[in-house]
Amino acid sequence: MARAEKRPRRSLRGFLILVALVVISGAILWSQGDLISPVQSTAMVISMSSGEDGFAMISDRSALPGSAETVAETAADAHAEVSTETSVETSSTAAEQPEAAAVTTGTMTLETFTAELATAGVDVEAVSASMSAEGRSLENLLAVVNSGRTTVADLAARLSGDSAQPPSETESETESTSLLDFRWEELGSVAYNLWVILAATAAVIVIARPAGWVVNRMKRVQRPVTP
Amino acid sequence: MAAQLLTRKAVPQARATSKFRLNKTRLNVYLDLLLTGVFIVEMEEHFTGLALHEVLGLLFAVAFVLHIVLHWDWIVSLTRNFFKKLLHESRVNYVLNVALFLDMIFVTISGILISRTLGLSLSLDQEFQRTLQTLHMVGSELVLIIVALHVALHWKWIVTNGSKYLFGWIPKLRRST
Repeated sequence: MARAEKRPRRSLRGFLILVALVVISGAILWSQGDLISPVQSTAMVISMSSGEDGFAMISDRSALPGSAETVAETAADAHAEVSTETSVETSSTAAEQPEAAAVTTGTMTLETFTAELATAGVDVEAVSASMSAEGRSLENLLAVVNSGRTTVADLAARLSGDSAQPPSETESETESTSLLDFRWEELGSVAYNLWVILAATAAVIVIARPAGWVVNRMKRVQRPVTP
Repeated sequence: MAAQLLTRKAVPQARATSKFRLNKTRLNVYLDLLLTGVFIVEMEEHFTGLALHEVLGLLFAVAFVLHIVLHWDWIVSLTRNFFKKLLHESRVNYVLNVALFLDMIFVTISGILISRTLGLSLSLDQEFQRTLQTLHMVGSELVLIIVALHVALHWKWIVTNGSKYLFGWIPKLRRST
């Protein structure tokens, strides 16, 4: 009897712990920018792989060397987020120079962004070339800046060192073949996967009760009670 | 009365022999924990690196097959009774598991086909390989969603057996202190 009473208490405690875990880890992941919905990440995967020359597994994305590749990854992510806000203004000069097309967002245009990068000492053309080799453009980086994930100064600091060494073709092919080559800065993505599983569990537990009630009602309707 | 005495004697004997027997539930708990751990790490290719990603993928495939073998009785019995009851939790579970199984097979096979560090060097058409890579990535994202639902539907089992086999030592520790 006592055991039967303990069981629902234990499951309630388990559920509360689960919800607390989901909320706390969700908040941590959100603050680190690792929290994106699975639908969004799938859309991101599709959009990343849609480019003709730009397709690459994540380990291949080293054309933008060093630390910049992480920026490029988040850029692709953020690009999906802000693409609805982005509008392309085409002018007569822009038709002649497609690279210089002014992309207006809520905060910064592509022109001002490239100008600021250039004044910060970044070889914008080299970065642009390496990104276009991946099927991306400077707009991705602009999207990251406009989303508030990083500043132009921070981005310039990361890129300035890299732009001095233009990316070679062999660089994109070099991938680590050693087994234990963890990138610990990506640990948030692993935590995100675990979070999705826990969040889905909590959601299913919450939904299961009304769903169960509906199923029981349907069963009763199908099988009327006989006196 | 004699029968009762016999059963009372038989129970401790059975317990004694079960110590040396393989506990299927315990094995399931440990295997599922391994599967979950490997899966969430393996999903992030940019965390592990390509070489480990591919090796873990193969390890996961083996563990996945073992997981199915351990649940074979459930699969057989539910396949036989699938059309008997229309509304049942196990039916939802079954449909989800079939989807997971098919998706997992696709992801594993496509992963093997596009592998670059396993030394298979399959000379596939580049365009086909690209498409396969895209589908491999999308398929793995889908696996994450289905696995999340799979775990959610087995939550009761996980809580019951997880607390028993993974955290069962805590009450014993409390009692001893």
